Amino acid sequence: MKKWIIGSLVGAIIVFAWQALSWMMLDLHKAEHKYTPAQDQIMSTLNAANLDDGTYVMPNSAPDATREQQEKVWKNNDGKPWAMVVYGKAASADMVTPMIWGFVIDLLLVILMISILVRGGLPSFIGIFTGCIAVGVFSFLWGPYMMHNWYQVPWSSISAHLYDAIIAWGLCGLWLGWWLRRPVNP
Amino acid sequence: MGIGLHNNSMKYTPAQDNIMSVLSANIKEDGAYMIPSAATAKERQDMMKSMEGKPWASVIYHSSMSGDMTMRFIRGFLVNFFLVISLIYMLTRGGTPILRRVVSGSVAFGLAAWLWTFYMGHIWADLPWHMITADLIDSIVAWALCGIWLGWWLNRPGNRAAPVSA
Repeated sequence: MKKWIIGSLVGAIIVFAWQALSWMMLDLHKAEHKYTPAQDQIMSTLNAANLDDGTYVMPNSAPDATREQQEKVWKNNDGKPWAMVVYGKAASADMVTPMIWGFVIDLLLVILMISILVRGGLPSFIGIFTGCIAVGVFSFLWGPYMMHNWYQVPWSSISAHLYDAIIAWGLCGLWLGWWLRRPVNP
Repeated sequence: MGIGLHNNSMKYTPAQDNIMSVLSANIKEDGAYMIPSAATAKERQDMMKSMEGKPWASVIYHSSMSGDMTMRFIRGFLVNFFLVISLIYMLTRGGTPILRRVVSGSVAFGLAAWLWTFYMGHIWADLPWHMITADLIDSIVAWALCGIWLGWWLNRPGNRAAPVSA
């Protein structure tokens, strides 16, 4: 049990540290969002639309539209501009809560990772390392890449997530591969 | 499509025509935009505090919609195929687990993927719950079903991998 707790805690610190490096120091995610000089006009249009917090795709069909009406909207929009808008009425600059939650989730992820890896017995060092990278790549494909595929989220917005998935889980895999296979663990 | 779990993932606004015309008139390049933002990293850092409590938006804009679903289905299937290969690879690192462990490992895999991507997006980028809940259901149900299949298939006599020795 102690082996799992220490392995998960240190693994979560490694993953969290890479995320901090990637987002803040190395600025790998800088291309994720672009800047437009027209932001004031766009923002005032969104504010005037009296939107609730949430994600909107537009043009979209009204919630009470029939299947035929939805298909008609879909066909009519072929070749025309479209957008997906996430709108929030009040931004929060609080970083403490997201950091705490972020670390807790990283911890849970490393526990899940160990649990998955040792399902059929303790793998070799290489098995643990490559298994961790496989989970990272899996997560990227299941999340950001599927958004790219179905919603055309731009590649520039998701490429840094691929680096994060491989590097963070690769580093965690190196640690777990060494730690879990130590001959005598506390 | 069938059950419509994702029907509430994206909202509708009656103001969409007005918003789209403003976006089309002002955005010259396809891509994702954070609003408000600034041209340089230093300016972005400085404006963070002043943003507290004010409205914000993230906009993904495309000048031309492609209604073609064939390529998306093909890519989607290929990615799913690769994901299942990754899952088998992961689960059998130390030998073939029993059915129950394959199922729980598969669900853990789906849950981990959702936490690392969509839930992290919720924490850091304020992705709304209504957008990511159906993805959570997908992650658990799809991988549980796949786990049941793999648990049976991988444990068939002749398919079992030998445990990894020290």
